[in-house]
Amino acid sequence: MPRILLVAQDKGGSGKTLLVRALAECLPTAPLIEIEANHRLVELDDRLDFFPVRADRGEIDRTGGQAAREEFDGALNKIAAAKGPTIVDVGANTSSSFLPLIGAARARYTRRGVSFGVLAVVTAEPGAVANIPVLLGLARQFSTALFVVENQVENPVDPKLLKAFGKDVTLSALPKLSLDARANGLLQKGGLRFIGEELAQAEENLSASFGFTEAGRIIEDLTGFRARAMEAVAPAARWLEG
Amino acid sequence: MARPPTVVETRLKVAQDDARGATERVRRISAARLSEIRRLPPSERIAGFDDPALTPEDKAALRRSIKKELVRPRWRAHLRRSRLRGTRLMAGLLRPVLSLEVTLPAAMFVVWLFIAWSHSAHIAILTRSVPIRMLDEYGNSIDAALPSGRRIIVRVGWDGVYRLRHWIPKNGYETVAIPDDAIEWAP
Repeated sequence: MPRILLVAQDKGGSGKTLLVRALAECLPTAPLIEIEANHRLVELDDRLDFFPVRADRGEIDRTGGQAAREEFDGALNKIAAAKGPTIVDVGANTSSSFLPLIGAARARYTRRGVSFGVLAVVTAEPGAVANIPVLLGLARQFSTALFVVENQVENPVDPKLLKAFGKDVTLSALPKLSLDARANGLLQKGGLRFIGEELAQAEENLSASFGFTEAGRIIEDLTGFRARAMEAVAPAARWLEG
Repeated sequence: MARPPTVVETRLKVAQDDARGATERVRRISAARLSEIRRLPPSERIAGFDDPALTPEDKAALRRSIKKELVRPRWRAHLRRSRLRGTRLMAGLLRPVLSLEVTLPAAMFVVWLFIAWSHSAHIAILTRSVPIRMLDEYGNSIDAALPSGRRIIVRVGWDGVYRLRHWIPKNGYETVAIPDDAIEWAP
């Protein structure tokens, strides 16, 4: 019975794509679906289907509901055809349009044996916090599992707000991590997959470029970052694996 | 029978082990470098703060080790501080004293005190017999000798000469110069 995990947050810059990458590291064979204005998960191309959407939701709304629905047809079809655990990156400004379509087709997906979970990402940014109840409200119509990852990149989120998201939500946190500037450059370039698969082999080159000790610190920062990100999504990854 | 670890658990454990291993390696390199630096004299150890191999924790340990050796003994520092405090206190007290509003009246008071003292008579004891000549109420000179050990009233003049003051009824005080080696101030 395929499980689909939708990763959502309408506010951009919340770290949603990072958590999708962390999920991909936890489940290295799980296919991914990216519904975004821009293709970002390029390092995962061998297991990813990209469905571009218009960045401006206002424009979609002006074209009418039909146009908006058709835009998501490819992604919805891909989900229906899923054979196993699948990670879906729902882009910024997209969740509020996309999740109702899943809800509407819930019965049909259930007949095909597909079950859904939703992982919402929250930061201390007020817009991101405000979006969570909306997302969870939509997700509760069709999801069997709800997860919220608190990304403490700016500051921790008020615990009272986190508690208010509901008892049916599994909470986890991604602590604020500081990365060496060069480590951050490598992370942006290669993502978490590079850290897991190629960093050990790249050590010699890093030592030659930056010196032995600095290369050690870059590796420490990157491996630590990858581990913390994977820990943050571990509850959702366990559910997805079944 | 225990369930075999899932893919997620296995991947997570490997990631955590990788992170721990990388941290351990950085710490080990830093600790080895720190022990090398610690063997250097304090003045050379300062260069260690720029050593990229040291972790922030080991840089803090290096700072403590240099501080420990460069800082003077506590009692010397305490003494120095006390002296400094004393100097500051004195300067603080003297600053208002040295102002014109205070020094001028003080100087005037000292002058007045000197004038008052020099115009005052003081009790002295004669160390030997001293011949004196005085005039009585009728203008006749009287020769007398004051015996040794006599308590007399003496006034010091502007010229520095000691003068005996002697009361003559109806004539008031008469003054007679007395040699300064003939008197001793009474306690």
